[in-house]
Amino acid sequence: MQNHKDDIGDLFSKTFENHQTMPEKDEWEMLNASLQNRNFFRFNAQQFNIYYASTIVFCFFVCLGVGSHYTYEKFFKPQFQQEMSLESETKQNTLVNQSESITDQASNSTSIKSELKDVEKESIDTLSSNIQHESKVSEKQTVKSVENELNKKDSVVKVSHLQLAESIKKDTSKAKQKRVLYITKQDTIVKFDTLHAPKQKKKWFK
Amino acid sequence: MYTESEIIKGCRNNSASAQQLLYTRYAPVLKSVCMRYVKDRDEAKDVLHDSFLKIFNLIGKFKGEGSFEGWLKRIVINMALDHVKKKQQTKFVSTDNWDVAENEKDTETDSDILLNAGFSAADLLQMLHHIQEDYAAVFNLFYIDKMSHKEIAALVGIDEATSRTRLFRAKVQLKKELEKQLTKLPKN
Repeated sequence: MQNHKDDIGDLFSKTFENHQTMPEKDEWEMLNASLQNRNFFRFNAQQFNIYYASTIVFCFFVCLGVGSHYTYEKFFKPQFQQEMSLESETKQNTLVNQSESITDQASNSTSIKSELKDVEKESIDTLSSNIQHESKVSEKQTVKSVENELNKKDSVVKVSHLQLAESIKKDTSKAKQKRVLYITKQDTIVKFDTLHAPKQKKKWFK
Repeated sequence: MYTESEIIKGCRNNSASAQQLLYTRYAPVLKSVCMRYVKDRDEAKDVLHDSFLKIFNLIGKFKGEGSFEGWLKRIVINMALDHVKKKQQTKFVSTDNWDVAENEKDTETDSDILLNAGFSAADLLQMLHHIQEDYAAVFNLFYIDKMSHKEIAALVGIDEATSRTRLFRAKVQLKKELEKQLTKLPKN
């Protein structure tokens, strides 16, 4: 039994002991192509080509870029930052000085403004008093003239004449009034006639 | 005529001519090994291609201890077994736990007729391709590549008992194939 089993094995072992199968022609070509492809991507000083040179140049520039960035970050950037901080401090100081001078000027201008306001009030008061005085004088004059006329004409029409005189008196006082405001703007003085208000621009839309 | 050591040295230096010399010298033997393990001809071609690439990669590690041809064969066998394993992962259904003794009676046929029938290497190769690939692998390793069950178990990743079982089944299947071929042969 055992011998029989081994006989089959011996048959195969004897047949394939020195058995050879010739490979096809294209098999070596394919293998050679894949070997060349493999060798191309493996660095070999004996097979130096333009691709190796280009990769070396590329790596050199990359290293240069990285190195320059590192040196800038490490050495140059702190110096620039210090200089910038100094410049900003000096600028801030000058700005503070300028602002102080501006505040002084502003305080002076406010005092001038208050003085100008006082002057305005005084002028307005004097003007109003003058106008009132003038109106009173004109009223008296009209009353006198009316009385004279009444005295001349009939006594019945006196009351109606007086009423008219009152109405006229009011109108004349308004017509003669001219209120002028002086509004100062630091160095300039602008005059506004408040009685004759400027016409408002018509809006083209409602 | 270059010696083996000169070819190895040339291959270590990536010399294309040395690589070609190595290929022309050992490719027929190694292709025969591939053909024994892998059924399909194109797949055997691919295994040989990959094996040579691996050989050229690893040739620097060959220390000169033992036969160079044996070292080359070992690489090809490993590659072929890996290929068989990959294929088996998809379609192999294990039947290794069958009792060997139960099927022993199947092999009881007239051995002299089979052995003296005059089968060619091509016929035997065809028979090897007709049996299950993992059985054929164990048969190849045991009888043709002269490995022990211990070595086969370590190489294939199975235990020794499984190796024995597979060998037995390989022989049973081969016997059936031989009998089939006998009926086809012209009777003298």
